[in-house]
Amino acid sequence: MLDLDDSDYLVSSIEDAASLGEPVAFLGHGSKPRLVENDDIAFLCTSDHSGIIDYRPDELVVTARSGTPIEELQKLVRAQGQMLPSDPPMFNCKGTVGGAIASGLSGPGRPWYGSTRDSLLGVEVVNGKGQRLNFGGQVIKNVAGFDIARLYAGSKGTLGLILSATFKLLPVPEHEITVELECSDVDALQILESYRRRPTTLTGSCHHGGTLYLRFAGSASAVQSDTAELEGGSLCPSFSWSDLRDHLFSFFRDSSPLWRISLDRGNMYENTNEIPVLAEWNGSLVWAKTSTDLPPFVSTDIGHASPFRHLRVQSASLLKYSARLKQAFDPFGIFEPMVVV
Amino acid sequence: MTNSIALQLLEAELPSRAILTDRSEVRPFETDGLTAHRQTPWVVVLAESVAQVRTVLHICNECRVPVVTRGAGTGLSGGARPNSDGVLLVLTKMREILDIDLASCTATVEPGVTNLAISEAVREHGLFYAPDPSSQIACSIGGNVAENAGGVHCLKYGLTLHNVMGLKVQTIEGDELVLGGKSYDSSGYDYMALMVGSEGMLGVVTEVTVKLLPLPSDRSVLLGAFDNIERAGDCVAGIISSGLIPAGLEMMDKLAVKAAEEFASVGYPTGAEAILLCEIDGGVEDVSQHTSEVESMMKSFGALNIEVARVPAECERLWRGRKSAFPAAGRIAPDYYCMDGTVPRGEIGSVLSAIAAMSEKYQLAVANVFHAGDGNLHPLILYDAAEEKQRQRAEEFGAEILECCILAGGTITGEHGVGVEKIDQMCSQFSNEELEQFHQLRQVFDPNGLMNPGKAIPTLARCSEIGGMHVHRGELPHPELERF
Repeated sequence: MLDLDDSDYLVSSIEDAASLGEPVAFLGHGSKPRLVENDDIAFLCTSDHSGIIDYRPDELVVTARSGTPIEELQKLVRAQGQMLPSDPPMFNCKGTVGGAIASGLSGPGRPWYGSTRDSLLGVEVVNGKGQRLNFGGQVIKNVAGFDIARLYAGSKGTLGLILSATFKLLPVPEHEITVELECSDVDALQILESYRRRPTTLTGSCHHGGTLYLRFAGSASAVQSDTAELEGGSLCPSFSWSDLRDHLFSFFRDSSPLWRISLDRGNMYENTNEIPVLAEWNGSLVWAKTSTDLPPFVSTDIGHASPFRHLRVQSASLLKYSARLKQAFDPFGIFEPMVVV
Repeated sequence: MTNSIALQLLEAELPSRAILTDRSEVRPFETDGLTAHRQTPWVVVLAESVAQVRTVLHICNECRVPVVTRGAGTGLSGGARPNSDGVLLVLTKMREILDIDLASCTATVEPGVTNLAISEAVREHGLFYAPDPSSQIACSIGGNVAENAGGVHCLKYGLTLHNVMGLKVQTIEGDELVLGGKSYDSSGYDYMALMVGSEGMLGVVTEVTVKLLPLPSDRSVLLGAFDNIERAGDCVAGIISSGLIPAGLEMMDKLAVKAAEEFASVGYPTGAEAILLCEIDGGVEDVSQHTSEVESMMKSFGALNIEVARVPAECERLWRGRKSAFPAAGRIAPDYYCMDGTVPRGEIGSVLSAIAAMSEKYQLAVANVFHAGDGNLHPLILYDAAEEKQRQRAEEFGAEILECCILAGGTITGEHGVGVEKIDQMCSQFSNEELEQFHQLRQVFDPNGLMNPGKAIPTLARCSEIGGMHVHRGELPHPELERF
């Protein structure tokens, strides 16, 4: 793995941008679609700021520079029987630590293993004045000061540059299997709800095209007892959860507008218009392909939808506070001025 | 006088039973769980509704009167210490469980509902609310959110932050912020992360939606006795790196064991230098397997004696000693001062040795009882508050422990919050630029600095006055210089 510290260059570039009032955007691998195309923006690339700063397997904690590829980080900790539990997506097989945090995206295990924000313990960032700041730390429990580290999760490059981050890790489960069964939307939700109400080894769900795929992970005996009661289920070793995570399924591999819909837990969508959909996260994360303004089965009282590609970015609620928050971290307005988080 | 106008407005807008001004009436509110710090509040408002909370905030903002929010008052860092010229806004009367939603496995409650009341209300459905601070019988969920409360089960189930899904927050400017909800993520900035643990400085939480988890079908508790505290520390690291995540992993030193045993008579081995308590929960198969794994690990790390509890009554017995450790410490000394630093697990042994040396230096006994799995230490410094010199030594002892935690790569507070207690150590943990960023963030929500002023984030002037030294990642500035 590369071990390069490019922080001096990155910080001085931000200082320059701040003094000139010129907008900058941060680019890791460029694996995720940009929210707003902006021709006038200068890209500051983090791929030369890469490598592990600290990894202590017996602490279940790792600190890495923001340009570190997620794939290499996962490989390193897997060798010790550990994993970054939020399993951030690697679109086009790429993705960096900084990008995973800034996008705030998490993989198929999110309801069970937590989000990227949940496992984030600390960050070093550069704010809009070019100041290097540390928030959070290397320990699991830490309530000193406001939790600014986690504010950077999902901040989409608008609050500053992430230089490095510390994550809590989890042990890789001893045993993992995937089961598939044919079932309708309604039946799938019923099965998932029954799992939510009792302790189980379920760690992933995907419902698409009338088939429900379930991932179970834990000790061999516990997995065995959880799957034994599933009627009509059969083992499906070919199903790839990493392909689902990285949008390599054919469902994702065309250019039609894609909506990402986060539903309230336990709610069901009524897909009367037969829009192509794929549901993960216990049925709570729905991907829908439609060019209409909003997928017709979504109403604001059961969740919220955001466009993932090819559609205009919606403005967020809490606009007054969001504008002030942005100002507090980026007084000269240099970070992604066109993006509204 | 703005204060007298504020009082007139409060009296005009609120029922008289909600406003306390008599010295005898406001006196019970002059301290929270950190009883060494007291201040008589100017006015106490016992709010009964969101509308009343909004009214108080509006009047305080208009008249520029400080407002301190208080839940059950069990906090240990003085976060709810009142202001002599401010309103103490008490939310314990807002204690209704508004909704239990079994489809989403969430409960929506008012801020004054106690932590334990949530778990009790949903037990019949086979569910529970995971974070369990020791004060759970009394502490309110609103206070838990303000402090990002922890407990003995954080190692597996996370902090308050990981278990709260939605909040309604009233800002001093009169906005109601609806944050999160019942979905796994929400759009916009992560305001939820900011509000949880904000110590009442960004807004007033008036509604909380928490995640409910299925009750584990089985559990066990192991007690391992060690003749050497460092070996017990090594065993903690061994258990964690083996790939097991226990539900709880606690350590007590000899003095804490002795005090707890005298108090609770639960059969703790009082001859041991340290004991480890390890709880395993989950499905029956996993619990059996993991219990025997932990048992053999304790043996391999040199445990003299291991007790395994497999039935609920026995598990409760082993926990009872640990849970009574604080009141037990109160029995062996007139007063105790509870610290809350967190260090990387690998540093526990060396930090405990340093604390033992400090105990000699300050001539005060210390009992250690803590969340070993999280590296969250709770040294209880035993002293007599009636003796002013002892009280001072106890505070200096505490401050030195916190500096030691920062040097070990940890933090000054794991779950109790900064409040007034650790505000000076914030100058050591954070640089001036970082503190400045905290202040700017605070102004986003409270431009006039009226919410819980003087807590949690020190002014830069205060830091330069006390001459605190910022320690970055355990490295002192100019490490080449000798320090005495």
